[in-house]
Amino acid sequence: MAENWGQLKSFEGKKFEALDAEFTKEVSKLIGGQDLTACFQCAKCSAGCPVSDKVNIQVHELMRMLLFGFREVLDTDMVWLCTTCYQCQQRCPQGIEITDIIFGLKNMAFRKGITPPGYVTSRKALYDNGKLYEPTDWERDDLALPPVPHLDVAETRKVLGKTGLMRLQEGE
Amino acid sequence: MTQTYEVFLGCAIPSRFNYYEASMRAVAKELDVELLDFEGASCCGTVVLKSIDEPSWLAISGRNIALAEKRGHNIVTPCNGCFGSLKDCSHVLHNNDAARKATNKALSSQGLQFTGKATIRHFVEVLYDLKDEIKGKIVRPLNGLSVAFHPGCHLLRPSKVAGFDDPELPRKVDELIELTGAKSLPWGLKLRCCGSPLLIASESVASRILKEKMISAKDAGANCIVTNCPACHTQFDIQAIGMKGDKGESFELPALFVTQVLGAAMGIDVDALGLRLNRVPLDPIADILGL
Amino acid sequence: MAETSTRPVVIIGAGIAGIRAALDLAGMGVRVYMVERQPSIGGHMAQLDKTFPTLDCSMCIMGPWMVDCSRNPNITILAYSEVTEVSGNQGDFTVKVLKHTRRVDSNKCTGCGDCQRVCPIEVPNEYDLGLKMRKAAYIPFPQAVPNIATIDIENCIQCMTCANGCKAQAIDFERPDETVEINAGSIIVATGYRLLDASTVPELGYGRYPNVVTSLEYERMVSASGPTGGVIMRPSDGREPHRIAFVQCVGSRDVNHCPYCSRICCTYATKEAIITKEHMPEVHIDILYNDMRAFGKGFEEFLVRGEKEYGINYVKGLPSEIIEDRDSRDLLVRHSDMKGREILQDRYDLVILCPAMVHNENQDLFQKLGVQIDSYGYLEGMAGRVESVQTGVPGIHMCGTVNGPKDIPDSVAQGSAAAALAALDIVIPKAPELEAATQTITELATGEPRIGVFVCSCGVNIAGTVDVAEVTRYAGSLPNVVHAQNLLYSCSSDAQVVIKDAIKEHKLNRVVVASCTPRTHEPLFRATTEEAGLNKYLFEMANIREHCSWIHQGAKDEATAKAMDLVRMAVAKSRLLEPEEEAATKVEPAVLVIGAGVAGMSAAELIADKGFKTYLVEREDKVGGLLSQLHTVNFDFTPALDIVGQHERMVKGNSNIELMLNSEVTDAKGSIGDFEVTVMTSKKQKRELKVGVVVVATGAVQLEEKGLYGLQKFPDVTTELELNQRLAQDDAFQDGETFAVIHCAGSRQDESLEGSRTWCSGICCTVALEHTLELLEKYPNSRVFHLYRDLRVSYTAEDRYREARKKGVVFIRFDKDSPPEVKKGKNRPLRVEVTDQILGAKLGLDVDHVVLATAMVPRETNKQISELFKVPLNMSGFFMEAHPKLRPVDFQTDGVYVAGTATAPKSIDESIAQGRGAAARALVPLVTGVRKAEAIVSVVDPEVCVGCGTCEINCAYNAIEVVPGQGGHDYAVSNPVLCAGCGKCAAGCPTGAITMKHFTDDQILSQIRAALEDMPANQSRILTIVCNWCSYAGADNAGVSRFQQPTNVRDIRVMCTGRISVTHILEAFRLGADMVWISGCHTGDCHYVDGNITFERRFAIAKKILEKAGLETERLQFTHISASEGSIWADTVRKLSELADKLGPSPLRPRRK
Repeated sequence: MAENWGQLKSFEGKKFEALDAEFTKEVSKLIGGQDLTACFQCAKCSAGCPVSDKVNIQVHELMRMLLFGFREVLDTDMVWLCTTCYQCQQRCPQGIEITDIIFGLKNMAFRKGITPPGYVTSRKALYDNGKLYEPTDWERDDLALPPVPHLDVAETRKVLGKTGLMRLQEGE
Repeated sequence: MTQTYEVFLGCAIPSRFNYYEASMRAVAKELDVELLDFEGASCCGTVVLKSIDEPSWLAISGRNIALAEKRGHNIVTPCNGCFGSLKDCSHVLHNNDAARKATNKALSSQGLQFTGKATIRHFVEVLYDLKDEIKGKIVRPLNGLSVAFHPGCHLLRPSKVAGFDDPELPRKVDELIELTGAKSLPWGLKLRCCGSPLLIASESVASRILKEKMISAKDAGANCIVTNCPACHTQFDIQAIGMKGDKGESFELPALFVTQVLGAAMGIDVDALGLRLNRVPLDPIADILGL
Repeated sequence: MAETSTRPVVIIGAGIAGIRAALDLAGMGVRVYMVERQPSIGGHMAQLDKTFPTLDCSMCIMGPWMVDCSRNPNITILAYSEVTEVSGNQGDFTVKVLKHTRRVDSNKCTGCGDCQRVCPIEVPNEYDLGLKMRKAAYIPFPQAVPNIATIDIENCIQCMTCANGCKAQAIDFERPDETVEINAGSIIVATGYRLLDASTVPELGYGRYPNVVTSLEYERMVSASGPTGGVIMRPSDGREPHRIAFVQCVGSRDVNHCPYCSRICCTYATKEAIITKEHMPEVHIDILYNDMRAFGKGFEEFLVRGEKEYGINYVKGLPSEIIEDRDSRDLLVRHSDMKGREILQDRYDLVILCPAMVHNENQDLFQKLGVQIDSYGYLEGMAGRVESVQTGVPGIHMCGTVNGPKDIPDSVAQGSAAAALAALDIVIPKAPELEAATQTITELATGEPRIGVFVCSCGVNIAGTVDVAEVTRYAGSLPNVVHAQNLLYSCSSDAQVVIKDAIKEHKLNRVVVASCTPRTHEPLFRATTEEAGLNKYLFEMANIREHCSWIHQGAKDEATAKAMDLVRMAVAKSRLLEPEEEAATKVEPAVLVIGAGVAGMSAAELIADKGFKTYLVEREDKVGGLLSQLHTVNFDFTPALDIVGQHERMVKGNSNIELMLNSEVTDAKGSIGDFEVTVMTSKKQKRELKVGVVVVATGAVQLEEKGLYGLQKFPDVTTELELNQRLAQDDAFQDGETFAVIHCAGSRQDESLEGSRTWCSGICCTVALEHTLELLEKYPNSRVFHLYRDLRVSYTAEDRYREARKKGVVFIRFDKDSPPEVKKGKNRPLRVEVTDQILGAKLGLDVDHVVLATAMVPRETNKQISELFKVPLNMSGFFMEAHPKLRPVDFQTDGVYVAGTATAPKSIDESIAQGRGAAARALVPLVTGVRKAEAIVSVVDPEVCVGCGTCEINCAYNAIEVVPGQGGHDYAVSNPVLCAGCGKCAAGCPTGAITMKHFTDDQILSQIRAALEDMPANQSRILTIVCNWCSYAGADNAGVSRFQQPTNVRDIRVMCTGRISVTHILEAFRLGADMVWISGCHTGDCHYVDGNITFERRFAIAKKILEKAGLETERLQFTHISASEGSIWADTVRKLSELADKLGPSPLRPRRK
């Protein structure tokens, strides 16, 4: 099935007319975005990134796009293929919280419906059950483990109702 | 003196790695660490929810912390994912007033508040504090066990949040492993992510990362891989099974939890440690473990 | 200020900056104490193999300065010492110095090194950063100054082997520490820097992986005097590396370590890469960088050479971590690459880390001195000033890397500047009157030679191999030798008495000492000779230690025979020695400073303050130069007028300074001491000035090139200068306008372009950032784009660069091959199109203004000054200083100095430092009032000279010129004041009209004859003539290092290979030499500019003649060997003797009767 994410595969022959300062500001306001524009393109982030050799757009290129204010960044595969390992953030010589910024981009992309399907189903599971997976009780019995403490799903649903988890995308 | 924690199991352990929980409880008992049930625990929030919607993640994660806080307890978790999520959440709520207000607003309906009293620790942190006790309890040295220890990302990074070990040269869990007479080998990709968070977005990329890890571990001469995280373990003890390289080579390597290694050396019964439940066959190291 | 004391100056730290300051002060006649923590002076530069951008051998150019420090009677070196207390103030400080005991009596120790040979304890050698071992009793390195052993008590087991083995009985374990108290008039802080411990960046593997080394370790690894003798090998397995990576910014420009830029790493990495390529042309080298930075004259061109000529790969993309392959010990490095969009997986045999420069831990000393330190621990300049030399505490000055990362030329200029400022804190003692040689002695000298020969045992260093008794007996048997004597240590103080008595008793008029190298000991024996009433030039040395006993330890008989030959050669020359006198000229106590910019004014202020008449000539109608056109400078937006004003007030307030505005120098005659200069004044009148010295500070200008990115074509394209001026006006812009700043406008051009500006203008990046930040202060909503190639800001300017980015300034990197295009815009006045190098995507920017960071270019009028004072310009049109590394404010022509942007683009503080540096250099002759020239100079016989002018063309010092004589018989006259004594003129003179004193043809030929007398039939004989500065020193180095060699070489020392004529070579062959071997400095290293290149031509001619004569041309050899290449010298000797043996005896050898 055709993925709807990661569609921007290269910059070959691309020409960007407007550099949108507003988008850069928007991203700077995200959790971890405060030092975004301090980036000076040493590309250390990509050098230590586990997926930089497996993506179309590397993390230092993603940072470049953010500085230029290219909203197309949400269509890069790097956004969803970030493993959240925090190695780029840990070693960034400019102290930029790169991984956290990418989390924010994922949020933006999700709201636009640009996301791997797995996240949509996980969202439902989390809302419905308050958990991602159910316990394997027979195995727990074999190992004489106590039952998993009870969770009243109504409580988590109430909380997620307040944060509007199920109403993130248009038409939800 | 007894230490008491509410143990936060998360979702992956009860569903896939009950033997991790069993070995954790067995070791905790030996070391006189009291693990209380975490009533009303939900999902920790995880990178999954953080990826979808940060406010929802903070609310769900914050709710768990607030529960323990309300009961006046501290939290311990054997899962890097939960550790990272809860620590990260409390880090954000500590430093970001707007986020804290919003989260507490969402929690108020249940009479919950995050104020940051509850400390959040990974089970290996608790173990490291008890290093000397553990040393005294080693009765079955695991000589010959060559370990590729995989610390996992969220135990170490971002170090500003995790604050457990040196993010570049982690030694603490390795020291624990070496107390058992096992050898914790240096290996090239030790700090590299296992790839498990990508299982949800792209299994193929996740498996490419796993293959790189396994090649590095085998090159280092390891006869097993040891983790302290069910998410990472999913890669090593589930995804690796049957995985083949271009030349048909296998990427399987016996995968143990650090609590199983310590437990075995402490002479705890192998079944109580769930050592017969690990999926990748442990035959190559069975004798060492006393299986 | 207390102009009341003739107290000495204390210099803390004896690296290159401290050494320069000491030599300048000593030159003025000031007493100097140098306090150095290490056992030897020299600092980091002494550890370097070569220096950029000239690739000079570091030790070759620095060694002589170190030796000068030890020889200079005004300088006291307190090495292995620390300053413990400082009190008092300007003009009257009390400085307590703790001299750690070396457990060696420095008066007795001869530096023979016996103790370190017998010492059983080995510890890692600090000098080689632990890559090599030293003993517990040690001399840190062969060229150490002072050349005294130290017992390292921490590691010593007190077995007493050294003490018992020391013939000089210099070792005394009971010797306590001493405290010296100095009442000083002024203090100079030059405590330098250290490198960040690379293991604090653990992800790069230093300390864990043997094949990851630091740049300083690598400097030793490539050095001929290093642990591997210059053979580059991997620490893990000794294998030659095929793939090498340099990693830049290790800890630098990193908020987790050192946020600042360390300034020099990019260029020295390039240097080390080039050296590596010269060792192994096939090697693959990547330099992994973020911005390639080059701050300094010729550095940009140097980087380009690295890429184009040497094929070094500059790869933009820093690694995140380094992983070692367990089996091969190779290093696996992932990094990005600007050229492709791929992440690269590279495997290297060797990785070299370039760690940040960090301050030396001297905070407690700084506290004692009361000086200010900045947030990174470096010394801060005086508050409210553009200041890099004055600390703000009166009487305490600084120089070198103590006030921030900088390279050698800047440190040297600062060293001189600090000396000038220190000179103002004290009264300089009157220079002693010159005493003329007395009558009796000249009689003595001219009489029949009566030669005394003293043969030194040097403990066992010579006597252990050479039969000194036999040599002494033989010496006594030589014609004209009336006295021969053996001495245990001829350099000991009691030996000097013995020699003096012998001179009187035996009425000696020539003295020969056969001991060690004249490069270190000649001054001592010359002094002794002089004290005995003999002219010191009647002394000659035979080096039977470094060039004989130490290198032939296995061949006692041959060594003894060779020692006899060397003595015979010395005696032969001494017969022909003549008394010489240094020509002394009175120096007119006035100076001409050309150009009243900050550099010129800074020079004028200091010289005038010291009480000398100062003419400050400026062609414009106001002072300040380029700076006065600016509105603000620096990141604090200081009004430029404040700085210009500060200096203008000092200049105008000084009665010794005559400021001549709207004036120009139109004519100049004479040389150092007495220049006659004509100035065309503002009233268009000619004004004749007599001055002793001249300072050229003519500055530079900003490029104004019509059409450059639309300049002077579109009204909204301006230069940084204009932008800065417009920022002064209120509402010059509206808030919210868009600006595109284009860097390197007219700089860093491709050399292939006609008249291209190849240089980096150095300051434009910083200036552009200053102006952008000022713009954002006034118009916070401006949108600013910077289009750049490499963003070149250094040290704390890096913080401002970060600030600009954080304020939303967008930096777009473009490739030099696809520069931005500026067009007329549609919705905004201008449109700029550029390809972002990182994304490879085209960007279209609609902007209101384009601002050009234009090049700094030399003044047209430089040509005129260059011709008037015979000082050279380089191809770019900037003035060419005497040496780009060590003599940044001198010209090759003595008495003319240079400062500021006249030589290359510079920042304000650098220009001020250079102005003061030039002042110090100028003050040396002014203060002493006389200039003692070299006694070893050329003289022309007007009768023989035909006035062909060959010599005039050849001379690099304008020291010889053809003058009209009667009856059209023109002839050359040499100026003893300017002559440096290389002898090129004499060797090149077609009529033999020129005599080179102390190295006359007769003297050299007599040595050649003596060397080739009764040669043993069974042994080949190589006659070698070497230059004093590089190859002779290289041979010394081989000796000190005990590199064993064949015994068939006989060497003659001349000052420069340029002195060697075809006649010398042919005479040697005529007398039967099997091989004639000439050796000099590496090309570019010549102590006399180009003597070795001149010889290259004669060498070719001589080869032709050999061919015609039917001799194998391999019998004539010419090599380049530097002072640090002892191992190469030894190898060459082996190689050449094998060749000589292969060729067999020369057909011209006299048949044995």
